[in-house]
Amino acid sequence: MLQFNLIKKKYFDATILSVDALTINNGIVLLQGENGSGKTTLLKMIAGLIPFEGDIIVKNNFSLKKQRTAYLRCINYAETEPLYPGFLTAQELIKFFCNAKKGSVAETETLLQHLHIYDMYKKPVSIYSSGMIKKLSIALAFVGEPKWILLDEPLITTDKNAIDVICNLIKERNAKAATSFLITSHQNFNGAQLSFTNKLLAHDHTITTMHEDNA
Amino acid sequence: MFLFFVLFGLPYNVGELHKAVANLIAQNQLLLLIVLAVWFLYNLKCIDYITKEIKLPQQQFLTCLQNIGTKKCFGYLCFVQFMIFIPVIAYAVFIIIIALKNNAYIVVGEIAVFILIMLLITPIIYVRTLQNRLREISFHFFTSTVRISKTIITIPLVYIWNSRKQMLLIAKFFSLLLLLLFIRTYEPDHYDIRPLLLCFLLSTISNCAIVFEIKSFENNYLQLIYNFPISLFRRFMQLIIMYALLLLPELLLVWKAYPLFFHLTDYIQLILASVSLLVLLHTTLLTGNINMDAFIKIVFAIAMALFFIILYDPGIILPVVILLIAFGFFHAYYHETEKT
Repeated sequence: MLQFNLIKKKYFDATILSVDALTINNGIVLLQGENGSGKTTLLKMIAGLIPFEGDIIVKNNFSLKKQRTAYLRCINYAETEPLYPGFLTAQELIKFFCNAKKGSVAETETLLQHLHIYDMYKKPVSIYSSGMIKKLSIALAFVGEPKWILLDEPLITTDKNAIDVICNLIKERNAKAATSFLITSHQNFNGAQLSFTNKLLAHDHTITTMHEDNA
Repeated sequence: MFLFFVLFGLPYNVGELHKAVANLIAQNQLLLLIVLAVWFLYNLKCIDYITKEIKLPQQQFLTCLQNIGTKKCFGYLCFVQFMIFIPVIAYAVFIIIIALKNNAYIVVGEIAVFILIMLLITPIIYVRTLQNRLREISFHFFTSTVRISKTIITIPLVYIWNSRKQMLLIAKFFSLLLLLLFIRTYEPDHYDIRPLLLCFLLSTISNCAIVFEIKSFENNYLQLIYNFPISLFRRFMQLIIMYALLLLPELLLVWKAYPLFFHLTDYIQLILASVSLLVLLHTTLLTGNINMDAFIKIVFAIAMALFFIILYDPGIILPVVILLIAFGFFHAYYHETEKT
């Protein structure tokens, strides 16, 4: 569970996002909204990448502001347009992430095999296509044992086969490890690909629950 | 910047000083060689800056220059190079006039040929960069034989080695040369750590451009580490280790000064002082969106302050205080990521 307490995000004097109180229950959650509605900002705030007023609590226990290290062990994040140092190989990035997130290199290698980028494992990411970098970032988001994985537009730049693989990975991880997902996407998922336990709407500088069914 | 300040800001009679310097250069081939080498390094720095700018994603529109033809493009870039090289050209003309007065025609010829080569060869590098035909200067002899483990500590250093070789080599060249010249030429009549400490800090400050590059690299490529479950103190310690590794050549070279200049117990002070200074410079970059010009001013102010403080011989207290101030900045601003 993610709890938001008096969240406010400002850029200069303009309020971009303001959430007084919101609880996101565990599950696979879709966050939708127009461009510039604050979806990515919200994800970055949850991931601890950008500062904001207020606090976020995960698992009823860990506060981002008070127990940052414990909190961040519970949260993984994959960016919309990931940017990695070009001289690093996927192998080095995976070791780097696994070391920080206490994850298994072998498991992440298996993910890369599923996503069909394992043959580039030892090549620097500077020669990867944007789709391959996107797949790598998704694999890195699965490293360790997070309680929540935040995926910002996970389907853009990925091919049709990869979309099915990613959806299956999400369902499998949610079922096996009870990992929750918060996903932003402009693309429509069909029910067979992925069904959401909750849908949120970013609109008018705040986040509201759109629809909930107990799937 | 330091040399400019010393040569043009400090002297009482700038004109007379430079006349004397130009006379010396016109009469001494070795001195002329040193001057040409400095100008060459300046040109390398300019080439590094311009090619880096051309390669930026937002400068992709410059590829349309290929449509006007190579000759015309070369002409435009000759003008760019002329503008960049104006400070050197002006000083070269000044030396040439003095050399003509001294009938040193060989010196005149040497300077003229050097300037012409710099003005004509450099634009070719820019043209080839625009046409994506420039091959990176590579140092594979090192990277292919040594495999460095990529950790949060080593990744920024590997980036500097891979992408900012010229800057790294020039910074280290000046830093180590300064240290070596001091050790070889200064003869202390009694034991005092302060002269060596002052020289060592000056040598450390030569690395300030690398600190700036490391911070820029972190801002651009390592934002995700803010999502890593690493405590603030541990991250600060990683920063200290990273800068200790960066200063390893200086920390090894300074052993040439042992035991005449420092005792074993003072070596800890040298390590702490130099590393804490770079960590402090790094943390000042966390406080806001600081560009290179502003950073140079900060570096200069810190260097000046340290100069006077060291004269009072504060001992180990100085690096400890610097580290505490650096940690204060780090604690206050590390998570304020958008300020940088």
